[in-house]
Amino acid sequence: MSRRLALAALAAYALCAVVAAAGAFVSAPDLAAAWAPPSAGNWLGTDQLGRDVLAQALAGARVALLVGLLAGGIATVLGAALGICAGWNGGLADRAIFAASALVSAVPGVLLVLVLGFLFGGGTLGVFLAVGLCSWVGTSRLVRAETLRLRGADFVVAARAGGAGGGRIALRHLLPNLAPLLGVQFALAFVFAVKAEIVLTFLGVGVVEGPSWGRMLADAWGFGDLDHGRWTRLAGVSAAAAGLVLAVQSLADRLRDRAAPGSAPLA
Amino acid sequence: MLACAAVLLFLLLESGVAGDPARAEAGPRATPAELAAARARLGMVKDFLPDALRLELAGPPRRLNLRVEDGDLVLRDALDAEQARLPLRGESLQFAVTRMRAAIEGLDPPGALVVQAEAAVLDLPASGLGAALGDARVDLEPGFPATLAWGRPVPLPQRVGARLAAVARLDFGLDRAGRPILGEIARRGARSLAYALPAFLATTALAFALALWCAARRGWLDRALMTASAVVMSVSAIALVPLIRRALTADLGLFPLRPWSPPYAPLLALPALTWLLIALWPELRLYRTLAVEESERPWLRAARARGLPPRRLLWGHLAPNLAAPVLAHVAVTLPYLFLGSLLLERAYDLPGLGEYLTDALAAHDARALEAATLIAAAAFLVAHALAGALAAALDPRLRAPASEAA
Repeated sequence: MSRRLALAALAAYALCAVVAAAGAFVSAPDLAAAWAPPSAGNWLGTDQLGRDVLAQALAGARVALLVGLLAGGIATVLGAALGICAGWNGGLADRAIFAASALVSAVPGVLLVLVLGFLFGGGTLGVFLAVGLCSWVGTSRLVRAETLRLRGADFVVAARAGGAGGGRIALRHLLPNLAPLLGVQFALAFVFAVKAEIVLTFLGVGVVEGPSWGRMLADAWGFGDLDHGRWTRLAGVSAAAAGLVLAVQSLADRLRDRAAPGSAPLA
Repeated sequence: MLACAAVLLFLLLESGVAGDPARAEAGPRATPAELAAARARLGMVKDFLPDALRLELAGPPRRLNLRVEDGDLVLRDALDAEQARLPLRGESLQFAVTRMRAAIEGLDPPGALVVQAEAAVLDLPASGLGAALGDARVDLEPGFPATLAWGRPVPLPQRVGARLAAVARLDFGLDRAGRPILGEIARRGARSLAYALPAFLATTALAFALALWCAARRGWLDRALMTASAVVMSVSAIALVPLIRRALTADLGLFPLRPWSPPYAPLLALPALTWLLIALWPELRLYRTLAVEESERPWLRAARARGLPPRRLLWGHLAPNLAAPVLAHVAVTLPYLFLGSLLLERAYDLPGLGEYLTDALAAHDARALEAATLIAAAAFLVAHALAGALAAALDPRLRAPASEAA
């Protein structure tokens, strides 16, 4: 996916989220219209309650973007803060943060997200926290390694010689240099969060309020959509989720490619 | 590390950090009796008596409710107005009951409270009532007797110690259905491994072979496979599993769809094949990245410059040098296999560990989740150590002292 297409797709998803937040995609249940096939009025047909599947899928973008931005934000901010702290200070702080990251990574990610989602009682807030608190480890380790490298760089030494404190150096000198790395890590955490929200909601510990892709997929499983030849809900939600993931992933790939040179084939 | 994980999990699940742990275990709609039983099961109270007091409200039709607030038992009316506050600390159940009776007799219009309990129970400290009730609200209505439980509160440090000792003995207790958790995990874990292990090994072998081919040749097939992998990885497995299930069963008729019964091989082959079709793509991308990185090394370029044929470059030089990271990845992934797949086991009605975990989630079974998490963490730590040793054995560069490597 090209950069322009990815940005256009993200803008479209953001627009859908804003429109959904304004309540535009809400359709009242109408049992008389349940399981209607695709038509001019309902492009993807209707669900078991007679609601428009396309409107539901578009409205699901709101939850996906919200979870992706907030959980990805939590993971990136936490990982960056801990990584800079560990790399800059070293010693006890480094060892403590390493032990905490080893502790989190010792538990299988899916299981940890499930346990935390269960603990926080599910809901959108539970998903933010569970996913955010589970996915900071990779960012933290990368940022620590990069901070260790940058700590000895000339511009940092010059800043220290000029009397700048640790906080100022971190904010004014380290963070701008870590920005591309953090951008990539945020995109990866965003993608993980969107997928995790779908799985958590599907397993019953995710978003309970409002339309979400996880709930739509859970309904598609529960009502045996494919077994009854109804493929539009599964296809619509899958396409919507895949589009968002692909757009973010391709932007992350481009960010990463800027830092890594290309390579030639072997044969 | 495992002890730290156990303490962390305990603190998360049972200390009340994330709300009342008994409420989390028993569910939001649990009755006071179910909540009290959950507190006993979690070891928050000991010497538990489920039917310590039986209270029945008499008099005019009305609804009163009892709940514990700040260590006191508070009696409220239908409008939630506080009618009486009875201290539970340092008093006996007898004293609490007498104060409750007096408060109800003093209402306008007055009511009466009928209490049934053994005399020995009434001598117990009233604080046990608060410990067993937690945040439960007990409704009293004429004609609807309520039962109150009693339990001696267990301090948090004592609970942590008892839990750690139990975990060290591999005693995870009973699940919500009354089955031993360890036995259930072992039995179901074996079923999950029966399809997950062959599927994982086949996926790894296929992904590795394809990755080498892609890294060596590049060209349109590499691009096609990478595009396919990006597309498949962007689609949620929740959408892919029913599609593959339908294709393999109803459309192609390759596998039967029937309940878990002998012969098991076809029932295990179906999730294994689904696993392969979904898990192949991320593995392929990972191994291709490793292969491309390795193919840029100077020694490989030197071998190419010497005129070695591509097949020998690929299988004689590149593949052996990828063995260390690939086997390390395999070793680290292996412990997760016993968890099976939460989605696959639900889709194919396979009674493995994944299904057990989803059931535990639905039943708010904190003990089962805790046990599965700890066992997975222990397996991961062992596998991590093995992976390190394996990588060092396969790659002499990893064995060299730091100064020499530098």
